[in-house]
Amino acid sequence: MIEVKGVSKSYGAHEVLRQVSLEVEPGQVVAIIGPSGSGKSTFLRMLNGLEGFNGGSIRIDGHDLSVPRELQQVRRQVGMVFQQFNLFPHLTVGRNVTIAQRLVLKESKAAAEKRARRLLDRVELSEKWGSYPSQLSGGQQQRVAIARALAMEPKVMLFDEATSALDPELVGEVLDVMRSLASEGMTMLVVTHEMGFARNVADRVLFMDGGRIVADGPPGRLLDNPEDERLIQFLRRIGNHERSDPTPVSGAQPA
Amino acid sequence: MNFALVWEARWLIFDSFLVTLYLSACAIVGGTVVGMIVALLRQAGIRSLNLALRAYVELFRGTPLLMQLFFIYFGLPLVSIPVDRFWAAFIALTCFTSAYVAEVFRSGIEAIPRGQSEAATALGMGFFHRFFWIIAPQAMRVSLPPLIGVYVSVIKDTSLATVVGYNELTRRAMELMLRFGHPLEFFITVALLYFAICYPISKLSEALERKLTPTAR
Repeated sequence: MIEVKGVSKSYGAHEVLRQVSLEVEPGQVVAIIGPSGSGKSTFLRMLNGLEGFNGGSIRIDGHDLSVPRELQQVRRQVGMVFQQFNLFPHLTVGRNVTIAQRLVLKESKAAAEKRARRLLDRVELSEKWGSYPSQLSGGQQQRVAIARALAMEPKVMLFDEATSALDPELVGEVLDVMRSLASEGMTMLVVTHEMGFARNVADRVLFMDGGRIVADGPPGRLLDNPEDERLIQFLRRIGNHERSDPTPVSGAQPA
Repeated sequence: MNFALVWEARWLIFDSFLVTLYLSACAIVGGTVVGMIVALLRQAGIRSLNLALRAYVELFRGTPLLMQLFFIYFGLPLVSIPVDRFWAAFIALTCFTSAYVAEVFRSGIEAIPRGQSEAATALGMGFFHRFFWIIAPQAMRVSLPPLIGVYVSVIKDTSLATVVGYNELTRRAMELMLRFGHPLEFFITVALLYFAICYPISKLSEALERKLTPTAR
């Protein structure tokens, strides 16, 4: 599904990513962890062309990201959820979820609204159809943002610290949606500080440091028996003592 | 004070009042359209184009409108572009206004968080979709109060069209004064007429600002 070969990126003399390679199978849920400045967000943003790259190649579902025409194809297949939600504040919730379907996919109004209602129902926000983002809590906004991304029927979903800007009591509702997506077989790359999520939901954990993928493996091995010295230090710093997912599982929603 | 004289000349004054309104409306529409195009083109991020557009904006903001009027009225005919008094005033005011409008829009656009454009990009929206559906509507909201401020200035600045002999309100007042004397009476009347247009618009701007600020997240 995702094929990254020897990708680098630098701003001037500062190297953000060095020779990063990665293959992700369809349906895999990959958590990316690492200290700030390790290049994990940059790497994620590269996968849908929000950041360019200097060397190497990225292919997503067979589309080459360095070809401008293919880039548009890739963006339709890759959904992204941001730390700051980035909902469109001048549009209602309903319009937030339909606008790209209408403009990019050229869906009819009825079809776009039908899909939007189904997705908002799924994130349990169907009653917010006519509300504006500023009238929603952070957790609700992020769930709308997930519905907005899903409305493009992506094959891959990228989550860039999707819960980092949320009040602690609102994190759970967003993680629940992400967990249910994962259980339905969505291919997901999740940059996160939620070790519980990485441990319990991800199939695979990547540890990035200094612009490289330093460790890569199943969460059990990587988080419980880390070998890399930098990873050990990182886990100690963030306090890897929570052995269980701190958020209650409130039942995955069927699609 | 002899306002009976002003009353005698009321239709002459009213006639030129309409001319001022007309020139103002033309300059505002022209300046807004051109200014928006300039702001849009500056978003395209083409280096040489940006340089040219910046030069345009700085040129018309950095020189007196009076000079611009002279240059266009006397200069364009020299390069075989005939301009009458109205067109000279209209072109000068449009260029002048567009430079300010472009700057207002630019700062409005820059006030929109980057994440908005990124979210739209990530949804597969191209440059025009992003600009017209996501960025411009939000920038418009931020820009409206300062934009109205620019419009009020333009209305007052139409009085400078006097120098190319365009028959708007100020010029009519000068003619009447030269013919009948009593400059104060005529100029007080004309000043009040400008005020009658500008004051309600300023008030509208304040009301809009109050209305728009709390919802701007």
